[in-house]
Amino acid sequence: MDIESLYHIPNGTKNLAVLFPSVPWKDVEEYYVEVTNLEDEIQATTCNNVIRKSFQGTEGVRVYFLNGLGGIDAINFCQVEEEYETKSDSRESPLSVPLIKSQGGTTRFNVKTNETYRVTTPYATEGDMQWLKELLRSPAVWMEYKGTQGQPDDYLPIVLSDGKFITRKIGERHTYQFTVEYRLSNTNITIRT
Amino acid sequence: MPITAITVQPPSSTVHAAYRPIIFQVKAVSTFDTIQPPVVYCDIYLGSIYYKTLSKTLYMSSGEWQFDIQDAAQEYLRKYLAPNGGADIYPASLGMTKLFCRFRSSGINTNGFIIPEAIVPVQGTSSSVPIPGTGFESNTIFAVNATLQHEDNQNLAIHLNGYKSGIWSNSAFPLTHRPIRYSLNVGDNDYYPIAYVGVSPLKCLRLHYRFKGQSGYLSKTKCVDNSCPDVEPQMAMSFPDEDNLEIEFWWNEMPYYVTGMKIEYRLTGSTGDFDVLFKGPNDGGFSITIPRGRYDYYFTPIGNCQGGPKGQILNYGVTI
Repeated sequence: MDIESLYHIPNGTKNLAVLFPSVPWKDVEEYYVEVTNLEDEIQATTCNNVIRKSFQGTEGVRVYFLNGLGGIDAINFCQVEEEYETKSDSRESPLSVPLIKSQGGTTRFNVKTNETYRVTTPYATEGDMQWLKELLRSPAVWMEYKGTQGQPDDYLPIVLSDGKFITRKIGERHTYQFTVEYRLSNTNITIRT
Repeated sequence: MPITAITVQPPSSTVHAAYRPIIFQVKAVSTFDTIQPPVVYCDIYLGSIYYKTLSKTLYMSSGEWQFDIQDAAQEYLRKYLAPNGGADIYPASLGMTKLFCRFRSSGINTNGFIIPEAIVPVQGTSSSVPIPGTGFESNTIFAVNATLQHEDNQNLAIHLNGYKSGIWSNSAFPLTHRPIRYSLNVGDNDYYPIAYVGVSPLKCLRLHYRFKGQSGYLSKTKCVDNSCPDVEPQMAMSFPDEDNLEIEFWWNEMPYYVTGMKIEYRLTGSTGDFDVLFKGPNDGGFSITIPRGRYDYYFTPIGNCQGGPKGQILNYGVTI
């Protein structure tokens, strides 16, 4: 493989905690990472990562998206509303003779269900809003999957709903409440009969 | 040479957004005379491997032939999602590619057929590897799976330089517009995407961190293994006498941080010790004389990199 490439530098505390296990991350407020080459020359420096107190302890969701430069960015949403939507068709079966009480009548088929999430972050700044336009126009978005049943953490593909978003207000421009709606890319698998 | 000049091309080793025009212009004459050729071909090589050809039958009013290769770059480049919670520097080789073009002219022969100039490359298939062709070669540049908006500086490097904070080399660029102060939570998975066009491998991460209520930063460093490059060995054999084989070795060019090449060989199926040769990193082209038989050969780069054998040729020789 060529050395010249696109690289993903570990930058989250989850990633860095593996590389730097002795750092007490709960006491850290701000950090950044420099990347050096074989000659120990600094090649790149990440942005200043700020651990937000307001995010801690909230039942949030982390949304990842393909940004306009080919990299992956992520943002935390801390208010999550979930809707469970179902759709189906129905058919009517004739009664049997002699009558079997548990059979016949109208039944559902082609049942399709999916979760729709409405998530909000009230902490976005005006600068964040310019960056978050890339989330709104991204073709590939995922939400964090916290591994259960022995599975590792992963990403679940999601589809953002189209809409109109206020990315610059007239007044009170210091913080923005940013809300997006999305559904899972894969619908639930339903049993037939 | 029927391609007489490349009049417009990106400067060598520059980075370009795949979703903006990447323009090459050439001047050409027919293979058989001095008029404009019927067709000019632009063979696109991505990562030094032949990808596809663009052909044109119409030249510009200036007499130049223009090719925009952004479509090919967009087709080839892909997104990459690093593992959730991973703790390595993850390359996304399909997120950015090295790229050059080879231009070929053509001519109409006495039977009226269009004959392309030079060696025509062949695309790879599921069962065959691509075969490179020849032609007038352009500068080598880098295409990134990136867009630029209308209001952005259309020079990708200049655009990305505006998003650098802290210390950066001229060989690296941030591939994100995220804010300079980026908020996240304890336990969050995150990666910072960069484009890197340097020749020295990325080796260490230096973490600078500040505790709550303090102003000074502490730092720690963690280095990752720099895997040695793959060796693509080639060999040729000859027979100096009835009992012996003469084997000539050569291999692909090694990067600067490889300082030697260890070559081990022994008879195929043997469990005995290897015979070992130590050579310079680019000392291919030498020969050894060994008794006739079939041998296994292993090639291990030595230097500022890690890993075992990176190339091998097994069961090579003659059966006795």
